[in-house]
Amino acid sequence: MTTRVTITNLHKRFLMHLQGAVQLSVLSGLSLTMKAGQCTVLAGPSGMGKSSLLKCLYGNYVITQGHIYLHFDQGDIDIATCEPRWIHSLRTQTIGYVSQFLRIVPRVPAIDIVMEPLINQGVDASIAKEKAAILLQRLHIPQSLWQLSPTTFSGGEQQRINIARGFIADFPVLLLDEPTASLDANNRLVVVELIQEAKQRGAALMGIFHDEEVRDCVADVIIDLSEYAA
Amino acid sequence: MKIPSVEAEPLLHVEGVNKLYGINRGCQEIDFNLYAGEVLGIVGESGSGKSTLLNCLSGDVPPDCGQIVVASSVGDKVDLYQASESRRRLLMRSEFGIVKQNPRDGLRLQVSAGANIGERLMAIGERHYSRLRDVGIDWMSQVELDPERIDDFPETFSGGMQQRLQIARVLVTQPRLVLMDEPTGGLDVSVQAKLLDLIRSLVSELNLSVVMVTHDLAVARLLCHRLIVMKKSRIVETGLTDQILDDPQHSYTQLLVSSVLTP
Repeated sequence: MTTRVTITNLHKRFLMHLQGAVQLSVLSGLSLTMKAGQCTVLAGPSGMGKSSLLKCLYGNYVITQGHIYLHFDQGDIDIATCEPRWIHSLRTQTIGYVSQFLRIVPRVPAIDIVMEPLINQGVDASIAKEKAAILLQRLHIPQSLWQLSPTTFSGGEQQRINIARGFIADFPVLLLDEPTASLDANNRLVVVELIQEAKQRGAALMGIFHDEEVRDCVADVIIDLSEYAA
Repeated sequence: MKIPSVEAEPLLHVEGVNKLYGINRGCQEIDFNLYAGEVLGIVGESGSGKSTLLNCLSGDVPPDCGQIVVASSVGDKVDLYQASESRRRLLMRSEFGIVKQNPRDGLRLQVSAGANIGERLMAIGERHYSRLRDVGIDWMSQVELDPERIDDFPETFSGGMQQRLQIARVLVTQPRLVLMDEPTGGLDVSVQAKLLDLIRSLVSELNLSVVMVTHDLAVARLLCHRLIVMKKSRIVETGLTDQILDDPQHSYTQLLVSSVLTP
């Protein structure tokens, strides 16, 4: 099985200059790999650095020490040391991310939000729209909501827009931060299906799931981060 | 897994640029690259040197030292201040655009809206009147101004409309690089919102590269891919916008980010 990502000796510390230069160490010497077709689940109590690890992988957090290598046919890229424009390209073409909370750009319709990752990849708008519509239907978002901005949607609806956006482009690496947190049983099932489909096409996934049922359905490897706590 | 593509060559290369008006006033040791399709935000408080830097980039103010190199549309690299006056002016007229904070500084108030839009085209040789008028009408629609008002004078437009007219005036020559100085400063929030939406869609449709000075981190979050944080004439931190705002490293950036009120 191909290894898509290798994390080597990862440390993440926060230095809060405004609070008396307090240092907060969140990850300490973490090493692991992500393989194609597998879902690695991060476990451990709240505050152990699970979301922080996903954010390091996405280039949202600065990596204090260590490396995160993405293995391409043409060579490796280290997220810890590459230039920001590489991270930008990686987010467009390689790494998808379903965050815990949908950050809403005001006045943009839900369907446009979902289409965006494909548009950024240069896919024709009409094709992107079709795919978005299919996903929104699967996730039980009524068509009457598609042209509206998610600002007034419920938490669960916002989360489903987030999920649709994360799964629309076939990213080879996919990061999921509590994708089922606000969802009912029917929609949790859809997310499980989406994850299985992603695995089948060879994506390497890493996810945080507090829902044990979902976790048991999708996990191939479980890593308890409390072992890497500082 | 296929490696993603990135632009190999920068559109704008800035190296070792200094322009000082006094101790730590102005900008110094400025190094950065800007690539096609990128929006780079320059943030920092008043007096940090943001506008000085923008003025050096626009070709208006020669720096004390350093290089500003632009990849021109014909494929060569032009050192902005080593080039001839006429080359620099040509670049500024056609391939660069600058949107000023106060639209009245970027518009010609004595001529009509249509003439404002057509001016840069005329400066590069377009003479055909009805073509100029068609372009004017088209651009007014694109920036959501009523094309019926093409012969009206800018004084008769509101602040937000003047700003949109300025944007049309600048974009008409399809510049690859647009410099913006606090483009939404001083506008009412609802007007600001419309303008931000407009800028956002134009950047994506036209694959514009933008350097935008702003003190508003919410605007930076919405529009910019990358940020440069300036303090007292220097760059203190740089990186992807979401990284700078979510995981600021430098003490000054942490201060800026923590000072922003969220409604």
